[in-house]
Amino acid sequence: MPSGVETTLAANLGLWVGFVFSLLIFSALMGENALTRLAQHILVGASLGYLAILVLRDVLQPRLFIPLFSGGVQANLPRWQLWAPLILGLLLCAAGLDRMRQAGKPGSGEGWLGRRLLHGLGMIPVALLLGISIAVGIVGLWQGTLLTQLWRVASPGIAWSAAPAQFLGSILTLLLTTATLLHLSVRLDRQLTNSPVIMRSILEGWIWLGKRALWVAAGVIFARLVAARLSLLIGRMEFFLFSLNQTGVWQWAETLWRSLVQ
Amino acid sequence: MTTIHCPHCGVANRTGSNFCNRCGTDLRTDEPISATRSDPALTEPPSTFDDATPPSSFAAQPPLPSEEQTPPDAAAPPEPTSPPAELTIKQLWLQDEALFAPTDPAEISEFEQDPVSDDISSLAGSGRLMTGVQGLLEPLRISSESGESGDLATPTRYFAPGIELGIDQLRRLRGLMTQDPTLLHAPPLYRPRKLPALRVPWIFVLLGLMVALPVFLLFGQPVGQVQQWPGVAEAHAQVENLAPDAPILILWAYDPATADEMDLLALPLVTQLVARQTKPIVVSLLPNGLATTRRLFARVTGHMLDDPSLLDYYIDGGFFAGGAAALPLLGQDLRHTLLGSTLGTSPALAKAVAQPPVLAIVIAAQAEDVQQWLELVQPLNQIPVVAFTSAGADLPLRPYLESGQLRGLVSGFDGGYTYQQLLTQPLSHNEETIYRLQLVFQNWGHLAFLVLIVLGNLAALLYARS
Amino acid sequence: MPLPRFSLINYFVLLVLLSCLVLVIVDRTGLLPPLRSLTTLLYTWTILISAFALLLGVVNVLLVHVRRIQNGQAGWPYSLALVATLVAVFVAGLLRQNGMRNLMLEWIFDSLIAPGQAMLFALTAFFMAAAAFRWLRIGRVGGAWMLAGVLLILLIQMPAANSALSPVWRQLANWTLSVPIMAVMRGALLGSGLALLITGVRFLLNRNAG
Repeated sequence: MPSGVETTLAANLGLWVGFVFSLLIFSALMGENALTRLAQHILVGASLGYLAILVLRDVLQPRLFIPLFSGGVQANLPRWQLWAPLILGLLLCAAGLDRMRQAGKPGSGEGWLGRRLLHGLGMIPVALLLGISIAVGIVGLWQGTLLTQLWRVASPGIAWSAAPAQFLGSILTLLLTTATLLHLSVRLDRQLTNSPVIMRSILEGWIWLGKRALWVAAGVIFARLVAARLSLLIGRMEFFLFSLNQTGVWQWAETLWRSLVQ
Repeated sequence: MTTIHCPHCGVANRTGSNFCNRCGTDLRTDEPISATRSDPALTEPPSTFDDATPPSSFAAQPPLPSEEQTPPDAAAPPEPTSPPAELTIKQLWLQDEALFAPTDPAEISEFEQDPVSDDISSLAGSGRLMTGVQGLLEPLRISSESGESGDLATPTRYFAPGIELGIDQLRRLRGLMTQDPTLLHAPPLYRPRKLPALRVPWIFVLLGLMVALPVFLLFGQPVGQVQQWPGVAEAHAQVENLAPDAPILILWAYDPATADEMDLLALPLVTQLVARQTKPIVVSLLPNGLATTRRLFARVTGHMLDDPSLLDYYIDGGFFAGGAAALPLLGQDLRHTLLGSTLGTSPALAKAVAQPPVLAIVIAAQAEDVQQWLELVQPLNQIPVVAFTSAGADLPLRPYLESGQLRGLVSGFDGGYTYQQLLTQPLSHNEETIYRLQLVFQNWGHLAFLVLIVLGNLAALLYARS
Repeated sequence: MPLPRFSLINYFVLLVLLSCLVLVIVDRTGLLPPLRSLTTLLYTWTILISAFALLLGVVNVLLVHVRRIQNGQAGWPYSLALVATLVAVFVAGLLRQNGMRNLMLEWIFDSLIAPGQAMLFALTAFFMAAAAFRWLRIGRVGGAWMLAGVLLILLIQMPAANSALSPVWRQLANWTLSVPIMAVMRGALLGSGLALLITGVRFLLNRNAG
């Protein structure tokens, strides 16, 4: 157990390291330089090391290794349900490592039957992940977005008895939603060449509206993003200020300034 | 798993691939790769290389192993899965040195001055095997549109010295290699504008000064008031109406990258949850997500990070390594998900998952995370959802708020400020100061942006007149 | 001897992919409730296999940089820094008993990872400022419309300006966000959603999007 002094020292050192490290990354604004690249590489290294240990300690160990090899909490699960992902994961790793070892070598696609078999088996966990991801994505998109939002478009709550403002709002919502959708999906030059002139003019006007509305929406998103990024920048500035205060540099600079003035 | 080498750029592709992963060349041919090599432009070495005085870079190049060990045998049919030796030898432009080493001193100086060449040589210098070499020497720069001539001023730059091909020949060659019908003299349909650079030092200095100076000088003015966006009060009511021990599920979808903004939103929420003595289950899809959770709960409760009693305030549901593909698990079998691990040894967790959650809270820096929850989890468990998001993620989520899929939406520093003002439990003096200063510094930052927009339009106006 | 382009193992892999696809889709429709336990198992496996995939990704980066160091390629000292940091953090996590809550890892997180990531993202504010100067101009295509949207929200979300503006402006901003902008975003959501759906289905049917 570290003592209080050690903890304070570590905290101070951490502040200094964080301060200097942030400055190194900040220097990217002055152009690509060696210090920024160094800081970026260290950041990637630390993040990947952290990810690896997290995966090991927080995912594989509690969810797979301990239940499988030490028994315990997952006694209700048949063993094969844990062996299967372990084998699939090991296959994925073995095939992947072999590919990495072969990468860049001439004739890397060749190999003895065992290697080809390994690479093929290594594709099984990939297929499993891919199949689940695609299925989940497609069904989720349909159930959670398309169905619900299409339903809202189709039933915008236009009631003749509604207040005029609400009624107009509903009409405007319907108009703009369809205009945007039309602008994103219809190519007038390709798809409506044989349409009647009136029809074509109406659609052109509608699409014109959708295009302008999208531009305004893009502007609004930009403005909200400005607020978001300014918050991040302000947070970093406050961090610099805090670090300077904690490390005593600020006070030291103040003393120096006073001595210079006097 | 076997691979097939692209006849165009040489990169290894999975057998059965229709197109090359690198350059998009059509690989769907029943003919062996040698068929592609029948093109004289590819099979015959350029005459320059037969010169008595080869370029120094080539002289320094050790002979290729395939050249020494496996002499080309025309009679033997080449294996589709192995790179043909002849192809490797004769595609001299696939070698870095052949590509990037001019021989003539005059050419060298010109080469060094050419920004395009500079760009490519920097790629070569990076040591990456694939850059600048594959795709038949940057074929993406070879367009079928004659109007796109900006990058084609010196097309032979991309080739080994001695390979003199004109633009038309380059296009024809690319057409042959990709087997795509291309119009050699088609009129330009679209000429992309050159994007202006975003590295503008004086703008950086202006913004930096306008934000940094007030921060470091601790300006206290002006403060002003924030806009109260729709959805904040509804979100507050959802949490406020919970029973004290109501089970809550939180998806913690932000990490230190966006914590400076997101903490402004999560802080009042966590304060409210702690005050209401709820014990939410927190899961994250981000590797650094739960570490951020620990820090915020420690900040609110005043505990140290390594204090075990910190876990009295929330339940660590763990890192979900599967990303969005594993999210439905939270919707269909939370008990199995969390108890199916040693995480489940916690009695608090066992108690928490004994009954289904009554509210889901997504704290996310990106709209996609909220969308994924609404698409992958909510249709399964039908639990009301409240979202706390970055200001930039606000707009894409408005349709979900309007359709009722989201019961509340809090976004940005202004959303966080409004939310903390709705709390019945006051924040500490320090925390309130942080929110107040945020408003002050936001004012200066916004002012900087407004000044820049005005300056940009003035510059455009003056430029147009001149 | 030329090898068959599509071997038995490929068919097996394809079979696995399609089986997962069909299982999940049928389960999500709710037509076959007994499938629920099977998909739960599949999702659990997804977490575990993804964990292995993440580890493999880390090893891949490690190997790439180790090779760069071995070959003395350009920028190898940076690779050395990356490898050294990665190994140091990993070892620090392995040696301590307290899992992810050990003080060493927390220190690394607070001193390196958190400030580094936060600073990188904060830099985007500067590039947004440059973009505002370069692009939000009336003369550009759509520039005037975008500028209108930007100015409306910038003024309303700037606290000092907000308090100076008339309440009508605040109501107008709220209405803009809740009605017209929401409608546009819904149109964009539907458009992109449909496009994604079609692309996904075409991918499954091996039809190229082009």
